[in-house]
Amino acid sequence: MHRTETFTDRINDALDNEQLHSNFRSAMNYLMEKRRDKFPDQEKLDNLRNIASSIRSNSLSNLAELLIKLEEKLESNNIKVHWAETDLEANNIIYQILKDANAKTIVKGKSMVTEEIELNEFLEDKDIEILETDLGEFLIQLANEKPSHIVMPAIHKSRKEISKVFAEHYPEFPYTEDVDLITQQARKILRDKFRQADAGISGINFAVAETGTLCLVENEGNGRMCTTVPPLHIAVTGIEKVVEKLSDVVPLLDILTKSATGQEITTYFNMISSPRREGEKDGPKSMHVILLDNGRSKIHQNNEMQETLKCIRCGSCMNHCPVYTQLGGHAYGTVYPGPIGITLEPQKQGITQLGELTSACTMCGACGEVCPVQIPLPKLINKLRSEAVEGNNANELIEGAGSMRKLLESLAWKNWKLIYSNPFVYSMFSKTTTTLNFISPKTIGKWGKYRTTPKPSKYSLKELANQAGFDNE
Amino acid sequence: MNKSREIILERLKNNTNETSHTKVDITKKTYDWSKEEIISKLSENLQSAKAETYLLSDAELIDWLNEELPKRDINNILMGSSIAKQISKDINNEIEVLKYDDPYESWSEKLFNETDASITTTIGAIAQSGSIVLHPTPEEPRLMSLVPDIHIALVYEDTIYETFEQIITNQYWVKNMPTNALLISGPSKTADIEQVLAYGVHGPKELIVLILTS
Ligand code: SF4
Repeated sequence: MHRTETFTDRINDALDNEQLHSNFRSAMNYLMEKRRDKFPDQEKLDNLRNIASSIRSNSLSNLAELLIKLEEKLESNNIKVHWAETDLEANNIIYQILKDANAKTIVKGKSMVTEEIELNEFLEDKDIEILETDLGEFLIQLANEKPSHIVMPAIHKSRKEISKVFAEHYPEFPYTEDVDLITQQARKILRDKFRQADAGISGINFAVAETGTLCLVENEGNGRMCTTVPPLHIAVTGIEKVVEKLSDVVPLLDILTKSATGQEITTYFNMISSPRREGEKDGPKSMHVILLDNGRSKIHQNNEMQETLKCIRCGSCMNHCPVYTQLGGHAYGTVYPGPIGITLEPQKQGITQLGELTSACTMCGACGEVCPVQIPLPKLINKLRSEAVEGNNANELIEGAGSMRKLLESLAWKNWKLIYSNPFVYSMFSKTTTTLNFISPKTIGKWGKYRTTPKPSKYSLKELANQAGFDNE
Repeated sequence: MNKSREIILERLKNNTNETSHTKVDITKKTYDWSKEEIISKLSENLQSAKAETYLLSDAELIDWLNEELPKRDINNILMGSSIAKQISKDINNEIEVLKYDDPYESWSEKLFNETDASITTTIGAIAQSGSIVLHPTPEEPRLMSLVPDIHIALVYEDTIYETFEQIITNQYWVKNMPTNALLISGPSKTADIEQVLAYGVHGPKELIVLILTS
């Protein structure tokens, strides 16, 4: 992603934007409430989370083996498998496949992983037309923006803003702010595009090793269009999305749709196991799967951080995050925002690059409580924070560990430790602070800008307690 | 041969994490619903996702079609040969019966722009989630349940299962996965604009499920 300003600038911009606040606040309230309604019984929810978490952990502990099995199954189902270590490699592979098929117009289903590799930009540079077809993605592509939420990409835009963008691009339709009418106009535009496209590109929610099946979860039907209508289908997925058995998808699907949008199930659950077979009359004639690493196998090597890869991209952690709700998705400046974003992105791109993201967390713990696969997000964020200042890059797996250490700050904490671990030094320190309280600074950095600056009291807590008649011990 | 493949797999195998995860017992859930309960759960759930459901006997099907199709301005309807054989002689002759006899490419424009409705069979349904289940075939290809504005699906009452798990197991899916298996739980919809629900964004605008009793 192109970041021109600093994270602080983007935070300030977001905090100044009232419209953005109200868009996010109401959207997050809506999503939280819908999820809550689907999980009335805490015990049942805990049970389902245990199951989902154990399926994902199991996938990760046998990841190499499962990927080999998946590859074997897919190939025997006539689906060509490609491995890409980096985003560039994935883009090049996709470009080559399209070029070989002479494909010039592409329809795409909603896929965060293709956002991650910036596939659209890559293909557009090579004069290939790539059209987003999920309604939200389609609208923000028109506005030349990026998704601000991993499930609801256009959540930051109001209906008015959407109507305006739509009318600018399609003046042949009468201007409207009616959601049904906009939806029907988009249907009309996109149906021709599906029919004429040379290839369809999609992501994957789960890839089943046992049967070589690619599963897609959606409500609109554009995912089915992209994977059924064009003669060529390319599916892109992170290597972590594999599960062992077909029956594994049952609880995962259940908890995914309930957590993400509070739906019992989505309109479509699409399970694809091969291209068009002999005698069949529709479906793509050829299919390819790109297994993308892009930093995942490195994360996999660290046993604690590996849990990051259990994520099924439900978006629940951001829906419940007070910081995300205030900032919106764009302020993070990364593809994945919110709690999962600040956990995943610094690991992928290095702490030197993105360590500051971990400060966008109040440690309230909400994300960890709602995550359907029990990723201990607060713990992982905390770990990244401490790696950023204490880690030693030479023997750490997390790139850029220790890079955020500040001399003054670490000196301050060293002194704190010295003072608080020695009773004599501590009593000397508190005496000095309370007696000399009048020379304490008037404001303390940015924090003090909006707050009354605290002053050390004249008496220490211990002295006050003694005065109040409490025993010494 | 493939360098990236080797590098990725090597790195993944490198992790010698032996901690075995506590395997949670995924006990097969059964509700022991009666036939009536199963049918009513399926109908309720489908209706709450804005699908229509009707309970008919086999013999009533043709009357239902003759009465309902004209009401909904359906002038033509796409169907597979088995259904066509069963009903085409009795169907109102103002309604044109279309068949998916040729590969999609040879008639894509007509399918997309001039086909009002389709009628397909299903391999069953799931009461708990309110889903109909399709394994499209050469006779009833994949796009039949996606492209026409109205999709009518036939579900035989004895193929309704309580859960997704049950249908996978009882029908031995693992051994014979079709090209495409589908769970469909309502008409196409979106909430992408200000979380306002709108139907018929890309797929069918209406889903009508006819539950057939024997
Ligand atoms: S980290 Fe958990 S809550 Fe967040 S998107 Fe992933 S699965 Fe959902």
